[in-house]
Amino acid sequence: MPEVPNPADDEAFAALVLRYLDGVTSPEEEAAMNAELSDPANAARREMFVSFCRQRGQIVEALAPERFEKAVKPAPRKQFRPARRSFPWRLLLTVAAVAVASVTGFFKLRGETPIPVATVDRATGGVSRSVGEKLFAGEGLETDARGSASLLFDDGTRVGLAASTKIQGLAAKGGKRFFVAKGKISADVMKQRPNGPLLARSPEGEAKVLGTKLTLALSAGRTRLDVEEGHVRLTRLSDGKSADVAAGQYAEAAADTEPAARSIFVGRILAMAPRSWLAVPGTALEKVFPDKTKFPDIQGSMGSGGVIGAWSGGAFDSRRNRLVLWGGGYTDYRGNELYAFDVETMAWMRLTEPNPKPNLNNDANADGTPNGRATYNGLAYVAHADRFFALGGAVAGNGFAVCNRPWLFDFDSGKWTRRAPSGAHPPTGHGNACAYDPATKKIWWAEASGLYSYEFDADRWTRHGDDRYYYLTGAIDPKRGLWVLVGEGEVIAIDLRTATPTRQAWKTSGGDALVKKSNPGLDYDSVRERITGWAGGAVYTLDPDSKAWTAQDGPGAPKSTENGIFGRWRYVPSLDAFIVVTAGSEPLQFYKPAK
Amino acid sequence: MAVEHEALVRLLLAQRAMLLGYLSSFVRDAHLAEDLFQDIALVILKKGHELADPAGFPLWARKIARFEALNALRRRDKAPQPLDDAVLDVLDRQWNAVDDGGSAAADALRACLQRMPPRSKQLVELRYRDGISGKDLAAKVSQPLNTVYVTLARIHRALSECIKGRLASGKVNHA
Repeated sequence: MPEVPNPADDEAFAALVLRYLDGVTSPEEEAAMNAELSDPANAARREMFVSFCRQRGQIVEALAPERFEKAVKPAPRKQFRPARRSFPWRLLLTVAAVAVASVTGFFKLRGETPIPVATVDRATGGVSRSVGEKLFAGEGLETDARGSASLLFDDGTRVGLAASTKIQGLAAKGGKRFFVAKGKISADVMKQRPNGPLLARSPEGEAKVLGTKLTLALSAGRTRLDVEEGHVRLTRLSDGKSADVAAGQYAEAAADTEPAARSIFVGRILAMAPRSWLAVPGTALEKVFPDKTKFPDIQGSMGSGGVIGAWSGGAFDSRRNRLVLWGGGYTDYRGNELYAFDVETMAWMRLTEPNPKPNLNNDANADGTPNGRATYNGLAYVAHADRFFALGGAVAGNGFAVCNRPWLFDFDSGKWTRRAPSGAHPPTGHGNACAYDPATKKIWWAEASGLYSYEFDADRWTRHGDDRYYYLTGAIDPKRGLWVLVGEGEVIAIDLRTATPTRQAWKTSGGDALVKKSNPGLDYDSVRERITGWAGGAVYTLDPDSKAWTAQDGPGAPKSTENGIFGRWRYVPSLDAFIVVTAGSEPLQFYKPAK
Repeated sequence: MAVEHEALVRLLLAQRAMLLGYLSSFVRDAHLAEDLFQDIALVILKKGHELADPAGFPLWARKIARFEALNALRRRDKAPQPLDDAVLDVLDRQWNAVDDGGSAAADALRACLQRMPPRSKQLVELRYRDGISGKDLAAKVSQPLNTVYVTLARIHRALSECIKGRLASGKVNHA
């Protein structure tokens, strides 16, 4: 190695390049860099710049190769040794201790002491390192099928390794870091510096932690993060897509799964026993009710609880996996805000703010939104157009204002629009029922004055007869092309595939307790291909072929809503369970139907 | 025909130092560059089917790296890259024009590091192995910041000369 040369003419520029690469140059110096490097006569300086960049990468590769290995080259397997220090291992441990002491001594000679990243504070079964061993940057820890261990960092953060787990590439600079090559870890992370979070990487994802309790589990190309306390961001490494995962939530990263926070209850609902109920704690709608003191003019006799209690329903937004509620009206509640319960996060959202000065006894408010109303079964989600449909009901005020023009809510823009369709529109009123038919893309409407269909795309009504329908809830059976309506002692079926859909009164057996109710909950179970209803007590399932109801009297059923369940009972395909909300003060309930 | 996955991994391993150096020139933050390298490694492995000729790997990988690095600066609300696009293009041509010497250059660098005067070697290790910033390094060795950078710059230039010399003489496999 020759002595360091000192060519004064390029020396200042060379130092400037290094300072630039470290990000510690001033704007003036950066402007000078731009000028120097763009000058055609300065090829040698461009060469120096590139040469220094290359060299920095090469030096890191030569001196700290572990920094690369996390991504492309798994570390070689370590030999397991039992956690208990039985005699045959003492020699090895002594050798290891001497080695560590030698390294420490080497650094001490150079005036430095290597700082351990973490200490093995628990090891049972087969573990690659022993209790009390200190792990340095670049090192890792592995357990075999019978082993488990935990690592303790100096700030009290503890990372637990389950059986058959391997972590590697421990680092502490810029925040604690390690790579989870396989298995499952749990972590109880002390509060970290905002600019130095704990980073746990896996082949699929990266969890960035600022202080929390979590588990990170790897299996078959998937990484699952469960958060017990705090907040963690999980990022899919292949494309940088991420999800913020809060306490009580989990998310997965895999080639076919974009990270999305889901409630831990999602897993519990998926695993529910058939014929059982589950209340999800902390999901009472009242948590997101508007502040009464800010909206004194909308309270009415029921307050925001009227959204549910005042003859009102909901619809299921199948695109976003959300139950959407809208209700109130008459003298019960004058707010016109929309709510949605997200079944992925198990959380309510208030999608819109209430109009603080509602235009009572009118269909529309001055701000272009619909006035609040008792919505009965006049709500539907128009899947092909991604719109929330609302028609009829008892408008806030005297409850009898004309409200016969469809309102549509756009979830993306958060705006309502009111349509003026052609054709013979229903006069609308109280006790209406409607349902969206994905096959015909029509909304079917039944009320006291007759049966109607609304072609959403053509914005046109068609009247199909003047039979009376009142206080019924309907569900469309897409397999059989039937709209089945139940309530007030009647089961009515309408064949939607015929040219002249007409009312057929069905005589069914075994479901009288449900059928006699007004405005029961009713929806189609696409897995079992049955119509399933609930209005308190047992759940009833109708086989449209045999016209027989089967009662499922599972334990833990909630108390029903006095004025009816309406559209607040919905089948959720992603969970294979029914969701129902019965009161603003009660938690969401899920029911798992019989197999 | 696309490069096989295994060959792609080999290429990535062979060019990892170059890519890390290239990334550092954009993000000017060693930790971020290392994070980005891992992200880019995955992008490269995922997009391997787009690479028809292994010889084109360095250029292709640098294009990905430049794109990802500039995106990362935007995503992380970091200060934008201070060099003009035209300058970056000129520098890219310099990267493309010079063969980095591959594994022979890496071996030569290791040999040169080993033969470096102790004081220089210590500075390099503190700066690049231990990741101590220039400012902290100056405090540690009780030298003005600019002196530290000038010294490091001299070391880099000396290393360049040493590597060139070893490659020219064929002495690459031993110190």
